Amino acid sequence: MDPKAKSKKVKIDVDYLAQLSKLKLSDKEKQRLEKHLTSTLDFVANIQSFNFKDLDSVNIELVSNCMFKDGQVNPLNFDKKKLFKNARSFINNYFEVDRIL
Amino acid sequence: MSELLGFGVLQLKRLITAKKISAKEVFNYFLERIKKYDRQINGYVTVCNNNDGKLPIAVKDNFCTNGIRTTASSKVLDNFVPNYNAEVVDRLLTNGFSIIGKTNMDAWAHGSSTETSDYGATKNPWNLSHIPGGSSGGSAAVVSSYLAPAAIGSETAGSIRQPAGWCGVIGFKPTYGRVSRFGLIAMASSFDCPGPITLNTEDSAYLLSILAGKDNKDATTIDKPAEDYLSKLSDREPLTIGIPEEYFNEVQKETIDGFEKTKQVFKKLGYKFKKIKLISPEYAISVYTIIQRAEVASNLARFDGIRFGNNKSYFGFEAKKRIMLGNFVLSAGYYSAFYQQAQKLRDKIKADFVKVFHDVDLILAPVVPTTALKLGEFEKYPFFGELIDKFNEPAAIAGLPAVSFPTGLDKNNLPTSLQLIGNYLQELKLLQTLYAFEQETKFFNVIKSGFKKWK
Amino acid sequence: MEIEINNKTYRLVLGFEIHLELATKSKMFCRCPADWFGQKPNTLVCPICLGFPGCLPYPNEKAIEFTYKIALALNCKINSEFYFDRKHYFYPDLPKGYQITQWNRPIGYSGYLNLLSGKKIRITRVHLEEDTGKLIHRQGKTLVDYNRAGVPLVEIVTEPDFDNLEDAKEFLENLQLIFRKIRVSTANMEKGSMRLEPNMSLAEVKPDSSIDLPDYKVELKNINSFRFAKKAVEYEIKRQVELIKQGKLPDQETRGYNEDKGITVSQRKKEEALDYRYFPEPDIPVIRINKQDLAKIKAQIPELPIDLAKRLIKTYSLSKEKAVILAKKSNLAKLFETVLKRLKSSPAVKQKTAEKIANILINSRVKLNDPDEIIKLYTESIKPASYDKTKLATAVKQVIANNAQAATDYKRGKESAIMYLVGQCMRILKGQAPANKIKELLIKELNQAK
Repeated sequence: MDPKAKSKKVKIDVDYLAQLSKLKLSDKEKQRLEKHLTSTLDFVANIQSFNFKDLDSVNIELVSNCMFKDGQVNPLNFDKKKLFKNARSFINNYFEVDRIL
Repeated sequence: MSELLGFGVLQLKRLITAKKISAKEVFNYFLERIKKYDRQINGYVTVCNNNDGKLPIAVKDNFCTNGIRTTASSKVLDNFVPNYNAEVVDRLLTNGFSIIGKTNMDAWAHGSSTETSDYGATKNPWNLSHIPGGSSGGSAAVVSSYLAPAAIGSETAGSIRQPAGWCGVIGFKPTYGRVSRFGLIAMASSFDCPGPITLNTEDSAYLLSILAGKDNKDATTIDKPAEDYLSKLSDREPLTIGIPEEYFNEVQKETIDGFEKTKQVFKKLGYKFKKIKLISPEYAISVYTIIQRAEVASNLARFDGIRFGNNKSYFGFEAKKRIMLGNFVLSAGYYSAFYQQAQKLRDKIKADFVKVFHDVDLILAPVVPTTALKLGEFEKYPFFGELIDKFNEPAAIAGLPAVSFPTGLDKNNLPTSLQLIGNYLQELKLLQTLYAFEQETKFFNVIKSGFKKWK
Repeated sequence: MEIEINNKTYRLVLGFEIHLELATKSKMFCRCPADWFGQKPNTLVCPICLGFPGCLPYPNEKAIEFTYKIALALNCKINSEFYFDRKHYFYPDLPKGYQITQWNRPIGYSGYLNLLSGKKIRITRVHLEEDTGKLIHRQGKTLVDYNRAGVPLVEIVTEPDFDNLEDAKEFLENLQLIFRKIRVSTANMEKGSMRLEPNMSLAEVKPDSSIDLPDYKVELKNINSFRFAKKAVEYEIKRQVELIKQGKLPDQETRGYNEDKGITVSQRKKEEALDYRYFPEPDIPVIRINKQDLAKIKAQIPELPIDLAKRLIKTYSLSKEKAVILAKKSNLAKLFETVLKRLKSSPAVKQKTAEKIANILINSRVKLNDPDEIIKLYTESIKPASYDKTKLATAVKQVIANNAQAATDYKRGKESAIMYLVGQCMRILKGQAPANKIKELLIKELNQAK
């Protein structure tokens, strides 16, 4: 199976993706991004033609027991007072953002 | 105090225990070297001058450090000072280390060159017009030029092994889940592994023994305690090493030379070799790229500038690219063809390794197709990192442990490297094998020549 | 509920999405206290629930146990192996930019709850997720409090099986009782630990009396009491009827209930809903519950109110109203059954006995705990009352003499007058004779005097 086999073309909607990603992009950026994204996508789209039929999927599970008992003390050491120092705007115990309508 | 030059962590510890030198003096020694040389190398984003009499260690700038600025080399976090430590950092501090500095990286770990850092590129100490690799380029460079006796890096797919290879030092990637990711700024959650970058094997073993183990803050950590890697280092059993011949096809000539030399040494040491067939690494590129981008897009959603950091307008071009592609492969209509399909194939790649490890104990493979590229060369490739890391992606996809080590120098005096890949939780076997190799060859004096350049 | 519009019959199609805050001590994915209501803002937070860089979720075992309990109580099919998914959207009350929830593999699915009438309400799914923070809008700013962010939330979705509000009320009240009885939540709507989102539409009734689900449904939000739920749905029905009357199909949308104005207002149209890009949460492995643990949880579920009420009705021929009241408080029902077992009445008097005991329990002003005490009260109440016949005769004669008007009224046919006279007798006798005997004698005397 040729890993570089091309499958059907996929169209990128840069404006929609920018909206989903909440990124504000200039027109120049949009053009550049479309070019880069399309070429990356062209390459990875070949994934649709892989199947490796002769290999059974294997599920490696090394983790067991990953829940905490209710009411436990927080194992994370952190300075509660410094928790808000990185905030853009923290007034009267609230984080402030521009008004959401 | 140039007699200290090249002393690893444990070697320094022994000196301190023997009262030949104090930890404070050691710390100062490195601060002086950083002051002298880091302007040329740019391995550090932040240098910590608080010498509290402990052994210094460098930590990649995507590990949160309490009270010390943590940027992930991105202007989004330019002024972010965490009030908590990454688990890895906590363990280092508990074991008598002090952070001497936060090392430079590709912004958000998005890359294999360290050129995408918002704080300038790091230069390869072997040749300052070349890149050190990435994304743990800063960590590899500071160890290679002895601006720290060891460093902690992180790997998603190649980010420890590749820069270690290009900088001529040892880079260890543990089994996924062996070391806690808590406090490591997430790049791709199902791949990220913290790991040590060192000048010798015993330091790797020592640091791994400190860092490995279950963490009740990271649900993906393995429920097994760390093994006593250090005391068992010189134990050895006869092992079989698999060679995936296909991997060596499009690789620089000097890497092949290094491979031949290495093979001879292992033969001499009593290791057996076997030809193995693995899925072509070309497939791994697509599988990795898709899943990684999806997880990246998701993990960067929290950087909205409300509780910390600057808003999304501060993201660099590479980050924006990855976020958009990530959201694309997760979006309705494309999710099953891309993301789900990639995950199915991921299980198959795991199965491929499981099959092979029935016949061999370890796998010997190249780390990178070439030695360190020049600054600016990666611009040519739209997803440069993934192509250059194709030998590292399969083990990363499967979550297997691996270690890269120097095998020689090419005609431009740049280090060549190889890697050993082990089965799940076989870190000890990897370390024992590497140790034997080191005892026999001293890595062909590559590591020594490296820090000697920065006398 | 059926409505005539333009000579066609329409039926209400109503379902619910219920969010229940679990009564755990800690939050869902970190060890912060979960008891956020009434706390000073941003005091029950840590780097993890604030979504700081590098922080990872670690699941709360009790929250998972409670969710299984709820799913079992609602007769759901169980996924013994489950995982979480990430649901992506941007909003300031969502710290990570995604919510950890369950999309693909919910803990419970395809359940049901039967109403007293026997009608089956289907439960589509029961899943576990984390709550968001809270926003306050003030002047030109929006203020964010993350105390509630990360609190464990169970989402229960019903099929649109309701066609009237009475059934919905019974269902929701029962749900609340169940949650409280199995102790997974305070299920308090005013405090926000139980939230309702009705979804509804009007469907044309076909000749065979069935309906097809219409092409739209309206989701109602911002409802924090059963009363407002009723009002909101009633308003919506009116609004939709108007549109249908005009030949328009109501829009598929989310509408918020405004309790001051008593109306619903459009919030966002469903077509514009952003893609949530669900994918399995990589930071939390697949979690499994074994058969033994599941059985242990099931064993903890007591008889649920509706089932208990049904059983009381069937076994003791108790009236529906009394059965429902007793079923609401499990200790009352337990006392009831203990007392009846002790009395070992013959089946013939069983119903009357049952009704009497139920009455005693329900109407007692004092809290009753002791079965013996109840039996004593019961025995007292059925005793043929002993009284002084002479004193009664005297009292009756005296009352008739002193209340000529009332006596005359009664003779003239005013039935209510007799009760007045009875009351007067009782005052004199100070409760020493039973009312029915007083009445008997009064009537006899009055009739004789005719």
